[in-house]
Amino acid sequence: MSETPTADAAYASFVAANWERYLRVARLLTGDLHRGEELLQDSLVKLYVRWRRTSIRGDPHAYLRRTLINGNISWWRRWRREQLVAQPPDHQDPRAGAEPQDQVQHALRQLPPGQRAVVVLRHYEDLTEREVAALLRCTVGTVKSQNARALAKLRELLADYDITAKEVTR
Amino acid sequence: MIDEQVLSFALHELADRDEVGAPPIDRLLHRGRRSRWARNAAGATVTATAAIGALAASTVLASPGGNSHNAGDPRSLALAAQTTSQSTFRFKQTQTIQLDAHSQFPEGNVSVIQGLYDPVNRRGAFEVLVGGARNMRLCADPAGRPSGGPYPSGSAGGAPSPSAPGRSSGGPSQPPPSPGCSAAPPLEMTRLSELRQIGDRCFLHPVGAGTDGPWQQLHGDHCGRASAEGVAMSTDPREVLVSIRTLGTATYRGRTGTGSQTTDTWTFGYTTKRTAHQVPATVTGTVAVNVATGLITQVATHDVVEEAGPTPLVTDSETEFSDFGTPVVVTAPSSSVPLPPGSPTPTPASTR
Repeated sequence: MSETPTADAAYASFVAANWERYLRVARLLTGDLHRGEELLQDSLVKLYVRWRRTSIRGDPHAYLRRTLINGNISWWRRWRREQLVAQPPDHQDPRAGAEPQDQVQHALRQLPPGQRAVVVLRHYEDLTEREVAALLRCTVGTVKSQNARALAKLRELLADYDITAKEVTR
Repeated sequence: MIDEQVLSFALHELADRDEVGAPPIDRLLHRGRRSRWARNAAGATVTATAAIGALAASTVLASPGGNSHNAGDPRSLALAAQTTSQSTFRFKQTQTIQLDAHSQFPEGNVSVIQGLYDPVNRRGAFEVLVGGARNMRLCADPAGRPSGGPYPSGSAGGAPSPSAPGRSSGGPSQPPPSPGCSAAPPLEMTRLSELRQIGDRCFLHPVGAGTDGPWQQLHGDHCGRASAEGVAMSTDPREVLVSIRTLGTATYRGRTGTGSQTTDTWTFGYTTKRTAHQVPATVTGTVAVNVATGLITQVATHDVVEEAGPTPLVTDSETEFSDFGTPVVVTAPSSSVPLPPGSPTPTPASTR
């Protein structure tokens, strides 16, 4: 419970140190920077409510990641019908002459949120399969299969992905 | 062709291409405090709902009929509370939090807990839903960005949502509509979690983790806490009767209806005590008792937390009891996993 100035200061320090990192994670999970920021703010509010317990006995990073993933899945369930019936002008198929990042964004959006979470945690956050399984509360086998399906789908969608202009340094 | 290394590179390219502003720490702290107060208020509502016990204690003596019931006398609330706690029942509790402008409740401001409970054998099956957006408005946020997305900013007032479940709750005077605000569309009620209790054993299924997500086993204190926070009044009312009998007074308001629907109505009010973790809440409400059965059929409360921030936090709760005597058969899930060590105690309400 973040009741004391000390607890509030610790929470504020955590947010300041990790805001950018988790905003980028949320942006990948949602496929949209503004929606990602809303998701992150909502998740950080939930973290505040449980700050004392989480910061003392748990791992605030793990709690925040879980809340981001669950929040995104809940949002997707609630609004997918609206998302599916229309293709807003700013969400046109980017494969026709768009930036490579737009191709990746479009491909990520085609994944179900569970697979998208596995991809982001494994390949952006660089978590191990075991860590992803613990976070998603599923088995390592489920993580492997979800990751394999997601990669197969991405390979199909990004068959024309061009990285020749940039060198892969990672 | 894309391999894992290229994918990692591509994800970093995508994530890093947007400029990121400074974190809105003040806003997060404000929302976090607000959310904590809302949770406390919900806890106070639980207490208020169960406060029928308190009324009972004080109304046994006030009741014209005392403990000997005559056809024309009101039922004793103490007797009604005890009788209710000895029967199985179906219940539905609807809570509505009134929001000030710009307070964001992404999942709506209405939550519903419903299910079947056997208080004698401590068996129950419950589900928690959220959504509604009752009495909420969509407003431009303080930064000037229109909240055109699905997340409404709420303010007290506005037209009740016609599709929201339950009845529209009463409340204090409504402020004038703000410029730039419009009535929020109703949010579909979404199932958040499911809880099964079999004696000391509890099983929680947070739906948000996925429909095929595992059930979590809760034991001992975890079970009690999850049950108490999640099912409110359905935990044994007799214990609550003992603990809060000194809180308030009740007034008999009369009898309505005819035949088997004849109902005695009581009103009550009290203020909860300040504790280290909870600010005082002023609670008023009504209790309806079916004269023919002597069972409580409805409890409605209106909570106001004055110290909840710039504006008071107002929560309305309505609990309906029905299907008394229905057999409650609860089975343990076929598979479940223990709570990971060090995890915060999950509750139905906290799985959002």
